[in-house]
Amino acid sequence: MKMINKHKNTADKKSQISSATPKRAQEEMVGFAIIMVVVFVILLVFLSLSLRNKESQAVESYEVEAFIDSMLAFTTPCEDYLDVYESVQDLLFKHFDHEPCVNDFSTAILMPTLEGILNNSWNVGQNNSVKGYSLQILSGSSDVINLGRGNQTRDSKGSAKTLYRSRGDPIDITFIAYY
Amino acid sequence: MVKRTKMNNKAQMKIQQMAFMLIAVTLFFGLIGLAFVGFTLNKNQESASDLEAKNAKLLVSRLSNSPEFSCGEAFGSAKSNCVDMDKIMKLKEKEEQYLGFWGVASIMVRKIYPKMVDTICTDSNYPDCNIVEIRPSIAARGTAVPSFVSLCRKASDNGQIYDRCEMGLLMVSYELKR
Repeated sequence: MKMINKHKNTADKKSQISSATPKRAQEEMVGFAIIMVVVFVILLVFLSLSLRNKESQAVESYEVEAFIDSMLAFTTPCEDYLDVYESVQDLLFKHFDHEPCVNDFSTAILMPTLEGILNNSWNVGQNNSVKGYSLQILSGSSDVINLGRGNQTRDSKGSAKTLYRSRGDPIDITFIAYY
Repeated sequence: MVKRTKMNNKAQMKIQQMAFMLIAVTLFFGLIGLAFVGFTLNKNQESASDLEAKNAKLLVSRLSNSPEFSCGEAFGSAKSNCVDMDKIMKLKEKEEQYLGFWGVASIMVRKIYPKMVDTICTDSNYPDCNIVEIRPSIAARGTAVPSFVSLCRKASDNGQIYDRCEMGLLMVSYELKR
């Protein structure tokens, strides 16, 4: 009887040791897995944050300002008695004053010139960085020139310029590029 | 004696387990460290490129108003974003004197309207051309930063000299560091 009890005790101890060892190993493995998961999550957050900062703007504000300046200085085919050929700025004054050029009506020269400048300056398209643009030129409340192309998206860069005249309302030029 | 051998075996197992665990943890953190160093180096390179891009953007927005490029009062009153084409054709010849002055890879001017076939300007074909390479690009990989300018020059029509301004782009390129 004593012998049987001794055998039983030894078997119990063995089973206790054998059941405790895998449990502890499992705990260690779970701990290691938790560390790996935590480090992986931290790396993911770090990566996503660094990727988010990489966005750059397709159109810069100085580009839009420079575009209006350059457009206004462009020499048009509108002939004048003094300057030989008028710039877009002078042609705008003529247009809003309803004055003709020597060789044609000011509006007949102004509109194709503006369209030519816009079409060749901004490469608009769904697959391009610039999705659309709009140019509005107005003097007072009635006389308005509206030229635009493409889509008007939420992201845009715009600039405005006012040209003052000796007579009549000033001319307000607003250009917006959508990207 | 048997008990001592069993205990020794168990201790050896424990030491082995510990050693394997330590190796695994060291390897794991070593790999993470390597990834982090790689990531930081890459980010440093990116920020170097970003700085170059920022420099190019700042330069291109001011270059047209610098004395070497600007029209001044040669075409009536002083205009902003106006480039004197006659002046830059001369600047192109003496570009090597400006080595390191602007700190960019290349500077180029391109006429965009009225539209014409791409022709690089030389003394023999000027002004019937549309590209002036002030500093030709030598970089293998570069990114151009453009800005609109009016390209003005003295032109003649029936013997009468007049000011002619056209639409153009001033492009400054910087070298990619990646």
